Amino acid sequence: MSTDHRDDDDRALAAAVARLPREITPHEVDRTWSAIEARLAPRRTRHFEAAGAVLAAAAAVLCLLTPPSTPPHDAPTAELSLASEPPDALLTTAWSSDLPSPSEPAPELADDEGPFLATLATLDADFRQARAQLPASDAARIDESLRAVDAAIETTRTALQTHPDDFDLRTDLLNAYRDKVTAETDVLDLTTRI
Amino acid sequence: MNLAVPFPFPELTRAASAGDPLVESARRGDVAAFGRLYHQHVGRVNALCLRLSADRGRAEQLTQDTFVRAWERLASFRGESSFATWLRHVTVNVVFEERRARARRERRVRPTDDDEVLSAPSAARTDDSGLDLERAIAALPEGARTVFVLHDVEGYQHGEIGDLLGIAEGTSKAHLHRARTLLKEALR
Repeated sequence: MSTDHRDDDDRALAAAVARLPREITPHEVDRTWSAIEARLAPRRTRHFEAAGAVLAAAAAVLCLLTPPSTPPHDAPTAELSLASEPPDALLTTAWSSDLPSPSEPAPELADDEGPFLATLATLDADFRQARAQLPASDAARIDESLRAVDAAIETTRTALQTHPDDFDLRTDLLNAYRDKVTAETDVLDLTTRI
Repeated sequence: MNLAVPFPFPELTRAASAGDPLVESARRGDVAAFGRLYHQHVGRVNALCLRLSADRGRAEQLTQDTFVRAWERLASFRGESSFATWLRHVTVNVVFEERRARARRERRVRPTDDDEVLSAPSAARTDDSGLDLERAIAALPEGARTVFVLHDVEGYQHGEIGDLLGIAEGTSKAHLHRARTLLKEALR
């Protein structure tokens, strides 16, 4: 076959590919949607928005703690439940009472989670201490946001039980852990700096 | 306090910038908004599923699975790419996951970069129509078809395909060369 013929064939194929329809609608497009809709579980986890809310809460903390007339140790703590929880309750905010208990991870998942859990455990005591210094309203906002992050972690872990090979789910889970570490670290940084 | 896990603020705040109001509503759990997204994108998703699976029934099931997975994972969509690009990535992952699960069910080992697959006879060789590119693509060996659809139709790079399929970049190129050769014969 000559080079010219090969070039012609290549061009013909490229042209044919370019003419392929970008969309092929299923025959029963509405019935397909009905089947999908029936499978959609209510979504209660929006951990990235939640992480943004944590940052917003942290920013509010920054503003509130800046005036010298409001020293952190004078901030009200009566409503702060975490401060009175046992010290071995690591990651207490991770699993709120209205959420299912964390399921046992697959061994390889445990390897991935391990460093994050260790970091969160290291953070725990300092975070509790910093949180106890916050005004109750700010602490409550941070708690609420962290609960949403934790719900995202649990939902993703549950999905991984069904789809253990899903790389994206695993990435989502680790990103959620990363968000939690970041959020707690940011709160610590802010209260330490002020 | 300086911990050994530094993660910058922007990674967290990008989440809110997905942009598309429909996507934002769906992220907040609005099924009706997700339904509108479905109708906007189902043609692209189904086309990709159909070309990768070469089976209409499986393609429709994969399309369903893709949208269910997208719903489950919508919270992780950070707006760093378009929703269509993100959805395409979800689709490809769903198709490959189903393919791996099917392979496990069939208890059959068939490495994607096996020479036998590359040299497998294809119906495209004897497709007299020569014009029906869709049928010719469907008739390609699975590895060649997958790489051709991802590279030439969807615009993936060989490196990305290698990562997705767990094969070497050179193997991806070999699959593409084989696919193009078979398709050119079919088009003649």
